[in-house]
Amino acid sequence: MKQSANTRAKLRAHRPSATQSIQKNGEIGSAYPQTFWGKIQFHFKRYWQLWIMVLPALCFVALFSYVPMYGLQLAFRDFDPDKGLTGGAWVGFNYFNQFFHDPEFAQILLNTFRISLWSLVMGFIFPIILALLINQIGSEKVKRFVETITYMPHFISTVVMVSMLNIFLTPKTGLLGQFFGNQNLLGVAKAFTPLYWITEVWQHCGWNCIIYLAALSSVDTELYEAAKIDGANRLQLIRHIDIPAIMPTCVILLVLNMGHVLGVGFEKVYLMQNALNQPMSEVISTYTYKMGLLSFQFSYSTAIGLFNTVINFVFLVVANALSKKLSDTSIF
Amino acid sequence: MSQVTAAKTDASIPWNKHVHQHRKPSDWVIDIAIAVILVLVVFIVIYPIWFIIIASFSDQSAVSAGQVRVIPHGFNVYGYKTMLTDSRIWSGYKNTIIYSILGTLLNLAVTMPAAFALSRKEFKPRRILMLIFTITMFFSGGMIPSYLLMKQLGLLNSMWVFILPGAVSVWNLIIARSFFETSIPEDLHDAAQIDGLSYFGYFFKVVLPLSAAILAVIGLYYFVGHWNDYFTGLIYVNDQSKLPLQNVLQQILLANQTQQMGHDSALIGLEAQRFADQIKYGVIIVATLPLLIIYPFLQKYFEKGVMVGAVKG
Amino acid sequence: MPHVKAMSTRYPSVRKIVESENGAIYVLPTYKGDSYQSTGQHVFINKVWLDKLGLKMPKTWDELETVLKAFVSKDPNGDGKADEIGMDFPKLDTSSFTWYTPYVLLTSTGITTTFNVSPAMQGIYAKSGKVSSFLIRPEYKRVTQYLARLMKEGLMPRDVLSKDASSFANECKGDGKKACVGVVFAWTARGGVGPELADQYVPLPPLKEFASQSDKSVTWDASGSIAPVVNNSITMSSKAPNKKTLFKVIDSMFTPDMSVYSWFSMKYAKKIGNKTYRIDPKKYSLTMQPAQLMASYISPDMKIEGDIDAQEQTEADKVYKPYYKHFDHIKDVIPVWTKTPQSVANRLQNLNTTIMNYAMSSTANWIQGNKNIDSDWDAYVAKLKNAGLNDQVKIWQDAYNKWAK
Repeated sequence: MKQSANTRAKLRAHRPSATQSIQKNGEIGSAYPQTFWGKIQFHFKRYWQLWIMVLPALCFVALFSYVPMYGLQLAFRDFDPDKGLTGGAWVGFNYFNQFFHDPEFAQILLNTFRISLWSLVMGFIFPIILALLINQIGSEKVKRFVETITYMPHFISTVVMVSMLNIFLTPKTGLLGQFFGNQNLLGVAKAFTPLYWITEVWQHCGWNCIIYLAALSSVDTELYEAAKIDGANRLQLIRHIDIPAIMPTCVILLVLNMGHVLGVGFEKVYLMQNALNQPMSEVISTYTYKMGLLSFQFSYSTAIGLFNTVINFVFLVVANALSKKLSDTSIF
Repeated sequence: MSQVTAAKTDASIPWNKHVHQHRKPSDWVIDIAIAVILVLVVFIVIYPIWFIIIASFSDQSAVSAGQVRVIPHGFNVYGYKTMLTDSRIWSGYKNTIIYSILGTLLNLAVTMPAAFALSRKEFKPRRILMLIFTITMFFSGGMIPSYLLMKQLGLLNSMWVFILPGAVSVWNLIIARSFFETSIPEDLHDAAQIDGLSYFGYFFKVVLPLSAAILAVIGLYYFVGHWNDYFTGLIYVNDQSKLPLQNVLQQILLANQTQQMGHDSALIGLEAQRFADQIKYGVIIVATLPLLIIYPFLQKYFEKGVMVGAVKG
Repeated sequence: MPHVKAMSTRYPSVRKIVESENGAIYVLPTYKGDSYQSTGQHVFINKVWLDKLGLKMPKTWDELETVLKAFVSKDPNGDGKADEIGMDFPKLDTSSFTWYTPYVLLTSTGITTTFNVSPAMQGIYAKSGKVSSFLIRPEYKRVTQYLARLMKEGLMPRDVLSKDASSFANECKGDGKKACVGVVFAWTARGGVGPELADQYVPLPPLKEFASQSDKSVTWDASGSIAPVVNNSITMSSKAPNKKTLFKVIDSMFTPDMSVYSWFSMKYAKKIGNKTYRIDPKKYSLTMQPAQLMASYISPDMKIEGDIDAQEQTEADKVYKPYYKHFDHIKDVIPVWTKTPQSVANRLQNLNTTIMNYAMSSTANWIQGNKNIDSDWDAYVAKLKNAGLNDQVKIWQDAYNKWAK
């Protein structure tokens, strides 16, 4: 919805204090209450509607996310199948220590960080570029076609994805494999990370750029016209109009993605993994699977999982603080 | 190539269509560069998708041998026949459609008001509330406590287990909140207050109508999330008649795969082994087609032109 | 429960498998019948190709190498292209030895493997009562060198170590009309190359490493003795009411009739006499097999006709049967009912994962030719020992001493 500058100016002229008085506490009506209980009552009297709006979401989250959290204590207890989930002996940070002292700990952590950061950064940049490019398409029909085509791979299951990768990379006869000589790239340890992030980007770029396209589609076209009259060429339009338009969205998504820094998914790595690339492809999730699930070490795997999420959370908080300082947008 | 500016033109300003602009050579170069890149992108994406389509109609050994390039090799429809004649498929489709629609409606009904409330800068508790929500994105008690909870709530084997637990996705909540913060000018709220609207009134009468784009995007994310959900049915539901499409397809897939490394049945069902893999390609087509049909309808809303960006009055 | 008792009396090892550390029994197993007593580890060679090229069945590693070379270069399937694959097997797992692994060739050197069960899957074996890890043995080195040589000469597909399971399966089966693979590691010929080509293949008898070896020094994978047992078939909660009745119900599952019906499904199993049954062959061409429910006991006095599974297995195993006599089932094998105590479970799992991760990735690199086994060997052994190999061996030696009777 576009309001003409006129209307907005008029509004401002008529009610200069309307905005202000809502932000300052209590010049309307009676004096602002001093007692704690009075403050609470005031707050609810004014904002009860907002509370109603937020309540359903809070309830769902409280019930389905917070109630089961007692299971986290498994990381600090010795799991005893006879005594159930919460009955095992308390061992504190035992399992965490075990994980840290594992000879493979460093390599696993390194692999996880490396694979995940590459995927994160690349998976962040490419959708933006793609969105900017697609936005440049003049014809509506072509634009829709390109959008639809590029997001289709998102729905391919991981199993099929890795199968296709195998087939395309077959040495000598594979579509891509014929360029790489006498070996299958999946068997080359150093190629694992690039293979991983390239296929990630390929698969999800189109889908991830949907939100950017939605943002770009709402840019005021008057801006384009004005800039063109000033002599801007395409690249300058992109730089000065498109990019600022999607910047807040970019920042929020980047911060959110930082919260997945140690979250390299299990399924894809597991399927792509083999004895040849294993030193570079063993990540926290596959390690947890082998250690924890395959041998019923629930406490150990819960501990590792908890370590994983704590690191993720720390990254998110740091990213959030940084983004607040640098761009005024943040999650909390 | 028309002389019309390549920037998106708003249909409500028809005179834009006839604007001629002097195009510098650098414009042409950039145009061509962009076009080339996009063609490349489309080809890189489209070929593997075409591959999946023809592979789903081809003989699997040819596929593995890399003989399937442009057209199906050893054409057969075994995969599709198996899937589409299995009665469970249709109940799977029905269930998925119901769960996805109901689920998305609940999602939007719960998420959007919350996002709006959390976007109000004067609402002091919003920081701590946001923290409460964000924590749940990271810390979870695990499968076993969740299972026990579902059991106690009587959600096991019920259709509501697909709809209720996932009512709020904090990720989507954050995106929606960010939209409300940056794209709805505060002046509108001032005007609304002058007209005597409360928060409810403002939200329903002013904000929502302007939020078509974000409703479309978040709705799409939620809908696809429901559509692709395989985990919920796997863990919480045994009743065959309640399973959604993804789970039915997985069952068909797995039943056709003989265990390569198993003790039993290594001999059995070898006739089907050859076609087992074929089904896995067809599964994607069967599962995804409806989504591909819906998307173009949603694309319209993206272009309605509501601001998610930083254009402030 | 009389029928359960009959089973455990006849097969004391079955009882030992389900017995827990303290002697209690919490689950009951299924016994599939003596006809399943064969190891799943078999090797098949294409007899039609051998005949066509005028070659004899290879008896040693070198003879096998010669035969593979002929397969790869002389176009035995007659399609005009020398694109046949010599030897094929599923890729090495990253954390254990599994079924159909080429490391059954260890048996040529006298080490008896039991790859269907732990701890052989992590490299542990027993010989004359002494438990060790074959990962650091010279025999293991020699097998790896042999495989590396085969890889170098192009007798195995270049990407055999990274190929995913379904690609591998399809590679062996080809288009069903002409055979593509000379030697394959599989359960049965049908399981390895598909029904159309299965007739071309016969089991390859265990090879000698050197021609000068004695016949008796060659053994074979010993998983067979316990192959008929399916563990964890049925259990009962301690809180169950009416235990006596439940015991009767459970026992009835182990009666002949019920066993056959729950194993083969009532639809396809027909009783044709006292303890005699016939299975409808249609069962074997179903795309979706009926689930094998509950528990069963197929006793030796029962006769089941038409169990193609069992038939083919026994058929394939005939060639290997004599070799089971070449080793002692207690002194040279870690019995499958050997259990390590719960207290070391954590440590053991750690050791297993660390040791196998390193061993398998080194082995894969050696076979592939990326690294040289001769120059790496000593460092490899040292690293494994550093990672706790001796502890792993000790844990199993203690368990073996306790359980192997």
